[in-house]
Amino acid sequence: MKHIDLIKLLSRYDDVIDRAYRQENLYNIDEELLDSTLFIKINDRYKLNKNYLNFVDSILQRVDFSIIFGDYEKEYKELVKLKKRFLGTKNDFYKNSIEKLVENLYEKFYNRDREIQMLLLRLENDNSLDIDILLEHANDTLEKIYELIDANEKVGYFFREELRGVDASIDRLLQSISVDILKYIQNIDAYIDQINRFIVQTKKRRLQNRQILNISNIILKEEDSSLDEYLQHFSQNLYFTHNRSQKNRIEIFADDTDILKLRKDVKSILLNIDVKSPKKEGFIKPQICEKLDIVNIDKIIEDLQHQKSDDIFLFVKEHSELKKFQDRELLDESFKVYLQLSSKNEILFQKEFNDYDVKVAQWV
Amino acid sequence: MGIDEVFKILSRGVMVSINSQKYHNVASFLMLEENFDELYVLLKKLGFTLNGENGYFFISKNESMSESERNSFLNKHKEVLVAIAILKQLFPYLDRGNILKQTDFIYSYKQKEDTHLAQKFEYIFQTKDLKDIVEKFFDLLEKNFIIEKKDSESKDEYLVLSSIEYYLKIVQSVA
Repeated sequence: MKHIDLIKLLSRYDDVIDRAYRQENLYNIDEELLDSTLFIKINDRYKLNKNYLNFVDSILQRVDFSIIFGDYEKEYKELVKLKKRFLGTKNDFYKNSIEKLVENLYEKFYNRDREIQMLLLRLENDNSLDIDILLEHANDTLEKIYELIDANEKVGYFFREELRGVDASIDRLLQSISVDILKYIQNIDAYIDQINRFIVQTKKRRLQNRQILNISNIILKEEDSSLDEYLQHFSQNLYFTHNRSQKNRIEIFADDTDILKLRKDVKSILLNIDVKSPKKEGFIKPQICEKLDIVNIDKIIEDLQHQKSDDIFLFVKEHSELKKFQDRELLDESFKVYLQLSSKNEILFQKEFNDYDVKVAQWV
Repeated sequence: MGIDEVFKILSRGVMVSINSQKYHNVASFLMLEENFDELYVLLKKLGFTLNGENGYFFISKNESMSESERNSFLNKHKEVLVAIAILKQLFPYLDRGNILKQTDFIYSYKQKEDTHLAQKFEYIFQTKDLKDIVEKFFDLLEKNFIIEKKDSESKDEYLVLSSIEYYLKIVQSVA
């Protein structure tokens, strides 16, 4: 198969390839895809070839925590061997092989630097993982980066000291990549600092979360005397010490003695009060009919039970019960109904959001 | 924005955060040392203290509290601390400046199905019914200036304010 044929194949099967990339289980695919080795069959399921996944992840800048950096030991040994053979024979074949290997190593340095950057970005932005697991990933990543230091230094030294002067064209190649290689080697120190800072901050966050859960449990068990003591001790510098008011004035609670005095006064007034029984009036006030814009949620639920829905917010928005609303009001009222429905057991939330930025929920 | 306007807002019992859209001007005014000092001296004479650190500001009273005042003071702190514990249980990475969505909250709550969570809600609202508590929960956080609506149009998105640090500092001190 030619490269252009492969591109056409990818285009023809873009949907199935994309579904497989997004981890969908595929139990049946065209023979053509299997023949191309783009897919392999594992335990009744068809999965994308790991080489294709690596390529796509690299282009899309997605890095998995399980990535293995490895060292450059094989390339290094090969370079030492090729250098020796070239010096012994002066055969251009060996010189070309050296140049190709140097370029490969340069690409590895480049990709590795990008992969580390992506990995750190993912560590710092991944809110879906448990904090303990994220910390484990961070420590593993740190270990992998530490391992790179020696490997980088070794190759960097070989380029600078051992390969220079072997041939003018190799020197030109080394010269053109030397600044970048040095940058990638120095970046490692910055990455180690960054990941160490991240680990410290995440540990602090984990401790803080444990502490707040602990305090809340203490409050719930009413064993919160130490919290009470702390709050009372520092009350002069704490919030909620003066009553909140919507008016522009500072309000304070009535003093205990004031309340006692007030209670006495009210009691004495109530004791002397003379209540006359009200006269009965024959007149009956006619009932006022009031038009209320109430949405019949039971009707919506009934329709949902019959019709089901893949997106309840859209279903509610289009429902006849909300026809009286328009534009912004329609969206607001639909969202209110959606929130009320969200507590129902038949609701199944999806991860994605719809065009109105509302989490998609299905009625099942 | 002048010192009189800042005083008006703070005296209403508002805790202003530097990342608040609503009170950004007040917080920015107080971030200037000379403004802070001027209001601090003024409030001291009136028997109040102007507090400000970690990007939030509020007024506290110097006078000792009556019993009813003390009970209210303790209970309000406890309510908000339990509310923040709920948030941290559902969103362990939640921090000031983050966006909190009501829909994400409902989704995460349903995913967890945790009896400890239900107990916390019961402590604050005397009910475990999700239908009743979601709006009340967000109202509680909003009224206590922990979150504010990201924009007036959106009913779903809230911004987590710097004032959350006030409660986390208490937790750190007591733990």
